[in-house]
Amino acid sequence: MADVVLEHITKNFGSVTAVRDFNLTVHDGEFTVLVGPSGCGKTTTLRIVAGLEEQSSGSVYIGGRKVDDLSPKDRNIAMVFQNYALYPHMNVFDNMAFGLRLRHTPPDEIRRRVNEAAEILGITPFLKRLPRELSGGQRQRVALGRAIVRRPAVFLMDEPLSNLDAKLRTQMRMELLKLYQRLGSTVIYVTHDQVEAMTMGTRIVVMKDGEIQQVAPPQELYDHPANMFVAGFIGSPPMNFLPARLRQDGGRVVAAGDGFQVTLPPEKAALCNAADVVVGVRPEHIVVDDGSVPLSVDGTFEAVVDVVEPLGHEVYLHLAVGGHTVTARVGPAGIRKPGESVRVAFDINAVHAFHPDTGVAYF
Amino acid sequence: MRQKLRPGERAGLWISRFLIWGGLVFALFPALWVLTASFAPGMAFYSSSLIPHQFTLDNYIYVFTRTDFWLWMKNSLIVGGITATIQMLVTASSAYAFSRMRFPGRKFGLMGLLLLQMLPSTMSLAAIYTLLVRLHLLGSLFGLILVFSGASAYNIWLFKGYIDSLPRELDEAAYADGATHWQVFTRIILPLARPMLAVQFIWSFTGIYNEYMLSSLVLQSPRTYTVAVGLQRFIANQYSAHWTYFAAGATVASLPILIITMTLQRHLESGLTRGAVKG
Repeated sequence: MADVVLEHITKNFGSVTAVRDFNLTVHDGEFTVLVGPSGCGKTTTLRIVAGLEEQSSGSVYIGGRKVDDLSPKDRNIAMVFQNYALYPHMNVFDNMAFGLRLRHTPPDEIRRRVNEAAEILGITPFLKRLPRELSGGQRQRVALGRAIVRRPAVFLMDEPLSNLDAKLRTQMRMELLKLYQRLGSTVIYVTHDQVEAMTMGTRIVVMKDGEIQQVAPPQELYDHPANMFVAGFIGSPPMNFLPARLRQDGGRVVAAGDGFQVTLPPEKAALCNAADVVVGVRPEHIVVDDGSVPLSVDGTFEAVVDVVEPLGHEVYLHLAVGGHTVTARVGPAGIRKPGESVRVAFDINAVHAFHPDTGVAYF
Repeated sequence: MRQKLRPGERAGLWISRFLIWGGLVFALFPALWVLTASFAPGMAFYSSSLIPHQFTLDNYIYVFTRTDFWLWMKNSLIVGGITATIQMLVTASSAYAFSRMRFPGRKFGLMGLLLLQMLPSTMSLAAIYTLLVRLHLLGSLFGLILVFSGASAYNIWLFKGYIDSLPRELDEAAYADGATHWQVFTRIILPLARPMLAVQFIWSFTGIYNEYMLSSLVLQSPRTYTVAVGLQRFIANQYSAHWTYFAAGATVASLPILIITMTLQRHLESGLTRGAVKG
């Protein structure tokens, strides 16, 4: 158990900066997820914590100890790799025992710990098998087992589930969470999958181009994205963005754009310091008139159904609003036909506004 | 199921068969000749027919009982075995360093080794001779082992290529597990490089076992001869060349190489790293 502190970490590969002035405190026992698109520097950051990569500047502290000059073996970490990286010439038992043997753990203790981990992960029947005789899911369990027998201060996981098929990934995600709740260890978990990030993380660090965009618990990230990148990255289908201009309309502030308008709550409108904004609205916050609840007249506008994606439990309607396309998420009863004209309103309490140039959120 | 071949394919098949058979005959004919000569009476290497009219074991009996043949074999096995082992370890560790570590001079070191190796080894004979004289090692097996023990640049390149192909994540997983460079090398890389180690051992051993020029220069007493040097003395006699003795000795001397190659064959299997990483 330990906290991990990254202070002003920068990493350059030649002229390319992979990580730029990265500051983060991962609290003891916290499940922190680094998420972002490929090439955002999340894996590099993890490898710097592990000691597999040396930072160009800045410091890493694990459990209050500065580890910059320590090799991976002295950092008390365990790492799980995306492609498992099992030792192919050793059977499952030896793979899991490898780290303990290097530390001269007594054989009885090794056997006890490996058996215990194997029991937790359900791989006891495979202990004598070679990695090549295992399925992908089993191999990933062995890789996890290899990490947990060591009882490290920090678990580092580099996209451990992304090589598994969708069904297995969902299952392993749950098992990994159970394992985390049982061990209560500090975990730093790297993924490009926002669903994994949302479901697993105590806190999420969203990265882009080597820089932190936002650090927040999942719900806060979803409800209060710091900028357009985070708003667009978290959530599926992504948030809709529409350029708009603010104007006063009889004491109210209205954001109006090409083919739509939405009245902003006064306390939120006061946060905007320029007339031009980008309005952001999540698909579930677009209300499509189905006749059951009359929409208030002044906030509604006309849209044309472009494409319909029925998913069974919900339907995505892609709507043409002015010259833009927005995606609305409605219940199965709200299904429409392409070409149909509908009345639409945005939920004014859930609308976001961003600075059009910097992308920073006003609210 | 037997498939009908088109005339063109049939012709191609027969041409390749003839080439293979021709190659086999070409390769095996000298071996067969030596084998039959070893059972032939007399001294001459050339007899009127490939299959001698009379079979005799006299040549073997002579070589085994009247010469230091077994001593030469022992010397050859000692020099070959020790040198091949040292070469293999030096090659493997250099290749590991060149493949996995980044250090100043890495690139030029690799190129330099290769350039050095391109000079013919005969060029260094005089230098090696002088060096051994100065060190008072001339004539000793130890001196010969010392001369042979350097690794070969070609082999380092080859081995480096092999290690390059092993997934780096394995090293990293081992580092995260608490291994040092040395432990990664001995516990991860070496076991996985077994096919390469076997190949290099066979090559080195065969090369040194058959080596004549340097050995004949360094070894000066019949007690220290290797088998290649010893056998040569049978046919280097000024007045009579004992080709049939030579043939008998050569036949027996080829057995260790045959045995070693066949023993190590099973290590030459491929696919050792299967299952390591998701491929």
